[in-house]
Amino acid sequence: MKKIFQRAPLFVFIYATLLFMFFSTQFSRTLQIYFPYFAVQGDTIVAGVSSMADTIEQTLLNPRKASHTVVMGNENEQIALPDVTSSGEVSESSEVLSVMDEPTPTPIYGEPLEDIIAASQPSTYYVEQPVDQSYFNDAVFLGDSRTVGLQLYSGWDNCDYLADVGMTIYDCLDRDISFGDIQHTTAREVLSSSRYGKVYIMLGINECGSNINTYFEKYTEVVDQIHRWQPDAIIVVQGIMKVGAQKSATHPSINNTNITARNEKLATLANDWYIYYLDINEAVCDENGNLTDGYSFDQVHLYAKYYSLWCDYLLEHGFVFNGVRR
Amino acid sequence: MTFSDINFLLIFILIYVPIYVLLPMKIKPYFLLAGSMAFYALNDIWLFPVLLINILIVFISGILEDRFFDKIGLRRFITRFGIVLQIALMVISILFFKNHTFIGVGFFTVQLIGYYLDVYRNNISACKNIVTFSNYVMFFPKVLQGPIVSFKDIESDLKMPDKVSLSKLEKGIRTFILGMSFKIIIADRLYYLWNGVQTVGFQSISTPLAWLSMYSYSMQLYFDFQGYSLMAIGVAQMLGFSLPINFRSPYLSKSISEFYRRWHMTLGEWFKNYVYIPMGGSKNGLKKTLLSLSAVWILTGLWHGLTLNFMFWALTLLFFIILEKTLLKKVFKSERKVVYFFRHVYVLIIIPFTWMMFAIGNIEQMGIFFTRLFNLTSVCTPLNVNKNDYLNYLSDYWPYLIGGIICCFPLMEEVLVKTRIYMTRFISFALFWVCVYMIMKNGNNPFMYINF
Repeated sequence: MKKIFQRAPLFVFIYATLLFMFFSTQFSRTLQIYFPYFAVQGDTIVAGVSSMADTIEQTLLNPRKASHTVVMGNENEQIALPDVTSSGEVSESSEVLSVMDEPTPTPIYGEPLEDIIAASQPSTYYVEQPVDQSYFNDAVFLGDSRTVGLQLYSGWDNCDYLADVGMTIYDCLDRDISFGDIQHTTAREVLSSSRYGKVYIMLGINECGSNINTYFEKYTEVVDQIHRWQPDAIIVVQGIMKVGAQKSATHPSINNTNITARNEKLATLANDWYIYYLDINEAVCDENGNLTDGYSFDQVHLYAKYYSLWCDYLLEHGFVFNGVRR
Repeated sequence: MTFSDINFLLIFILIYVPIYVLLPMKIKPYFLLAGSMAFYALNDIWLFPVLLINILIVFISGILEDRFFDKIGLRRFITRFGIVLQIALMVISILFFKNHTFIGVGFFTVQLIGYYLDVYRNNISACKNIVTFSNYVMFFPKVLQGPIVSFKDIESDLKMPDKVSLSKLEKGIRTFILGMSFKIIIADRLYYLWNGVQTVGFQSISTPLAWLSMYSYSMQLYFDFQGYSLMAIGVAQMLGFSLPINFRSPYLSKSISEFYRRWHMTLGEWFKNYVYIPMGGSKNGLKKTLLSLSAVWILTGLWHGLTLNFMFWALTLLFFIILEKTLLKKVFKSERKVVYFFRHVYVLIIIPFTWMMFAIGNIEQMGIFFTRLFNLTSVCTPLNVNKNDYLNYLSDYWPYLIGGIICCFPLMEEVLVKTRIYMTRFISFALFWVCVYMIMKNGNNPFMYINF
């Protein structure tokens, strides 16, 4: 009897532990299912706070915009180039631009990006043409695990990489990453303190489950921010690389329909001025638009040997300063 | 919610064990049966009826054999029919119902065949109680990955479960925690190393990484399997059953044959009792021995999977075991320390090689992996190799690798299960909390929380 009493606390403790565990795991799961913006991945909260804030803002604070979005309906034009840009403004700013022969984009603090995009529609400062590896001497790659793969297996060590496994557009600027010999830094610190000629971005596979409009808005915001830090750099938005057919058919959010929809939006960011769009899927996908069977073990990441396809595609599609505005 | 999800297992135990312990003895078997059935039914409701019908068939055949104990012809027919039926069911379910396989169908089949043969050979009398029999077949702690138990061994427990005492309960919990730690802290972490290597593609890994991943996989496999077995033993202990142990520090073996006497022991035991000895065993001359060994290993290969690589794996092992029984026999008799040392080295090289055959389903890929192991660049040109990849992996995984190496020795089992000092409780708690932390942080299901 004495023994039983001696040991009773032990079992109470173990039982309590198990109970705690049960509820905590269940609780976090429930949270994830019903409140996706609290989705906990590893240590960081991603795809979350901003999307919630944006949704609230859109629906409560700015009803006009929200209703506008709903009325438009058409998926491709949910964020249409807004009607705020009057034709007068456009012609005025394009006149200003036309006299410049150097692509020194005017500072755009406070101005909506759409104005700039609209204003610069017909101009071309850079032409797309094959380049060699030295083209990337002043380039930086911003991206998730796929860009980590590019860093490890491209063999290109003349450029910089701001890449981390699990990176998303929501946390890409403030995520704790290692950069060269520096163990802890953020893309914000690096991009705001050094000068680059080209910034390549590929982000979006991790946040495929988040709202597409929020994603696109955040992307616009990041591109805008990078342009402020790097006014002389071109920003190359790379379309999200697609996934294998099997993954695409079975995964609720990481599928090629979803990726294509996002890529179509990303393509609209290109302004033929300092933002360009590239779709590496042309190099790695089969005729059905899926990541080619046999190129990947997990249907998401290329085998190391196929990173050359990505590299070759980037080399084929360099953006070289043209100087002439047509 | 999948069956192999550890959360599910924990919840199940959490609710189930206390109720079971408190129930009166008479009701316990029924409650156990209900639990096992729930386990299967939750896993796959569509195959559940097939399972029940199958159990009923085996049960009735057993009773028929007992009833007509003097009609040898009829008994032989029943036994043969039964065995063929079980094998057919297993093969069909593996080949045609890939998404609807019974969990642990191999273990299930093997035990039923053993039961048929035991009854046929009059080693046991057939079970007359359907509840007892169903409990034997479906006993939920062992359905996933064994251990394989013969009816004889568990019969007395089933008829009259031990009184659950607190000390047994505690031992069960400790065993369970140890198994869970092996699985969660070591195996599930090392899984990512092997997964990473596969994602990179074998053609692009450096030679040091090939070796690293080979040893890492060997440990991952051991701790995964040993972890599940210990968890099963632990849960069974909590319920008052004793299941046989499945592993006895196999990586410390001094020969391949010894390795397989210490690795997945219950399967080895099964093959010994139902294939090796009936075919002649080791007592009837070398020729018979080799023949029975070959049969055992070909069947082992088939049991693990119907693809070519498992056959490859089994035949390689067969080759080395035969080598040990013939050419190396004299060397192995020596008791010099140097010889022991080299025997350890030999096991620790050959066994990981064979695990690679086990792990890589595609023969061509297997070939590529071996060219990377020996850096045979002329046979297969490596592409886009990152010279320092193994350093990256080492810096990520060294704690788990070192922990794994330490746990290959029987240290943890000794400390946590066999001794009963207060320190062991403390370690158990600590391990438990580490497991909880890891499950919370990473999730148990590797595909659920993975980041790209």
